Amino acid sequence: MILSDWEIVQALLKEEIIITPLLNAKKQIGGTSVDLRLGTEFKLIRIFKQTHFNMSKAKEHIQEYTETIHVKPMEPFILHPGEFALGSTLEYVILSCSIAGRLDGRSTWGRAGLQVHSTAGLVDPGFQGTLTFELNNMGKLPLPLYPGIRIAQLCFYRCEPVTDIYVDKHGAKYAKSTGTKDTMFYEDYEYQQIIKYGNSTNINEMHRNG
Amino acid sequence: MLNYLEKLLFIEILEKVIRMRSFLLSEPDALRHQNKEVTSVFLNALKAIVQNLKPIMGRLSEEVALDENERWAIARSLSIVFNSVDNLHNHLQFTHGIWVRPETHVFLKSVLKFIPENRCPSSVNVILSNHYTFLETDLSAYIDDVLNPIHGDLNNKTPSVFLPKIEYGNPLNWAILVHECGHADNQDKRSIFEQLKIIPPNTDIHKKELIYSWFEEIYCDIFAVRILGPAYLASFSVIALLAAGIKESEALTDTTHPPDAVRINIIREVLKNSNLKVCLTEQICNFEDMSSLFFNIFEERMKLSRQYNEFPFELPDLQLALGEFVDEICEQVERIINLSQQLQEEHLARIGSLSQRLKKGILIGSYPNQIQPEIKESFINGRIKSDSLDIAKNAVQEQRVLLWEIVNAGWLNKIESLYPWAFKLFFGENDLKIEEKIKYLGEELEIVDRLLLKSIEASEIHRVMEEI
Repeated sequence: MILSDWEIVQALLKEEIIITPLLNAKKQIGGTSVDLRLGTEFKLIRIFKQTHFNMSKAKEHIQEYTETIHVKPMEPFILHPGEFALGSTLEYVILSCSIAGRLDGRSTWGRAGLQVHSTAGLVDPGFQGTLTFELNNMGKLPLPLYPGIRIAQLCFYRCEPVTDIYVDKHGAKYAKSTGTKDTMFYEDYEYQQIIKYGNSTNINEMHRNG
Repeated sequence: MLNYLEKLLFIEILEKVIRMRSFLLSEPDALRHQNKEVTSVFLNALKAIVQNLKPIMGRLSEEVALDENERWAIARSLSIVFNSVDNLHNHLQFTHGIWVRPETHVFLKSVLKFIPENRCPSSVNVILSNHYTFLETDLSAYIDDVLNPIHGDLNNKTPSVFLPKIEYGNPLNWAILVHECGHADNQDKRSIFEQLKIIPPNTDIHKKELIYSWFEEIYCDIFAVRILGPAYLASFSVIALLAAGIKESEALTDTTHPPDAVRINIIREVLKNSNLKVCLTEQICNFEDMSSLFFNIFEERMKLSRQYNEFPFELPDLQLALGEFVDEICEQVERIINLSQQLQEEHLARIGSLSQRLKKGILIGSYPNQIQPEIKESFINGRIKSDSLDIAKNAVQEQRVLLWEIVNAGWLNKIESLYPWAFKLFFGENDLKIEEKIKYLGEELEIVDRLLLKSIEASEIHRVMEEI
């Protein structure tokens, strides 16, 4: 069941949920959510360096494809129409093993065309770190995004305590992050297996030979 | 704890090795293209340095009380190893460049707020230095000097502080930058100096110039310690400890800086007189607070030196009572810097809790409001009604933590959590190879660095939001 405002406050007092910094609790805690603010670090895709993406060197190529930008307080990060960037919350969030979260945009910014996540809004119980925004400007106007503004909201759901806690899980790629992290799909088990298999056998050869 | 000084020095040198390695690998291009060969030479040099540390690790792992001669030999060997790290650092310009972190600018901007507007430079540049030294200079004048005999129109004053490259992501050692900012204060230090009553009017001109140089350094030390509190002593003494073996042969009368032993004594006196104390949760080597621990470790190291002299509060050459000299400078500093934002006793009282939060992996850019336990209990145990919801929300709101608190909490966490953990890792019984141990220490350092940097960012945004 989704937590209401007073249940969220109670969970914060019990430290079942930690959100830090919580600059203005009265403004940030709504009926069933807590507003989250934008941090200072962004990652953009730069496509002018590579002619193709080399799957077997995904880690190095992801790093080469992305550029990190730091924005000072009171300085805007302008997200132009159709542009995609990664950002992160100013807040560091810790959830106990019996609380899950769901990240969503605030309607104020949604009306301006801002998406804060594309598909990945679920936060697992036991999560610890900053949350990543998959920022997308779906509108027609450039959006000036200042560090510290409230652009997202996080809802909470209580569940039975999970046995496999996110931060302790082997392969928890984004745990304890303090900034904006690139995709690390190359660390997924099945992806590594595919690349390993592809390198050890010549797939094209196999196809030709039936 | 047995051989605490030697173990601390060992871990600190390894920290420098780890930081240099991560600096070398911080750019994705570092291991590719033209940098590959150059970078691998540096990485191999670091491997050689680690090899030299191995026998020391073996000896310290035996957990036996060492005699004075062996202690001196180990301290000396560690200094020699650090000297190699320092020399290697001097050549980092052969590798790629890297930019100063935005958090460093936030840190320095906050330091400059202590200088009244009419004397404060509009900004101070930060330059990553190839030397493992922290220094301040007017960049225009410096570059003009480099061009010599050509002279350009470089008269604009450009105050700049230099940060060793490998410390670019380590806020605990930015403490020394605060001292350098003291130099950037446009206060006419010469006129303050001339007014000091302690200097005899008939002092020889050369001696007077020496005393003036020392005066300026002591002035900046007091400026830094009044802002940062015990973290300044911690950072300064670790750097002095590492350099102790290299500086052993230096004469007492350096022409620009007082000896480190003198400066550490002064810093400690100022901390004592201002009642700036960060208590340890439990005693370490019989000491109850951070400053006493570092002061005594440094003194212990000095005593190992063959040329150790008692701390000279009377300097016969200068015919000057240093204690009174320092008191007078302290008075001047108190009078001329903005102390509204400085560390107070109330801030220091919560450093312990901040350090505990850091240990749990929680950011420390802000701190929960204090609430009476019985009210907290009532909120936790029952439904919070609408008429008390605002009070409850106020209880979970957080206050901003000053940058100085973050740095002190970082040091406390290092003493109480990181050092004991690292001592166990390197000198305790386990089957790990030294390379694996270095990897674990590197990961741990990276986690703490990230938390501290993010805390600085959060504190700064908090400040801006409060202001607007």
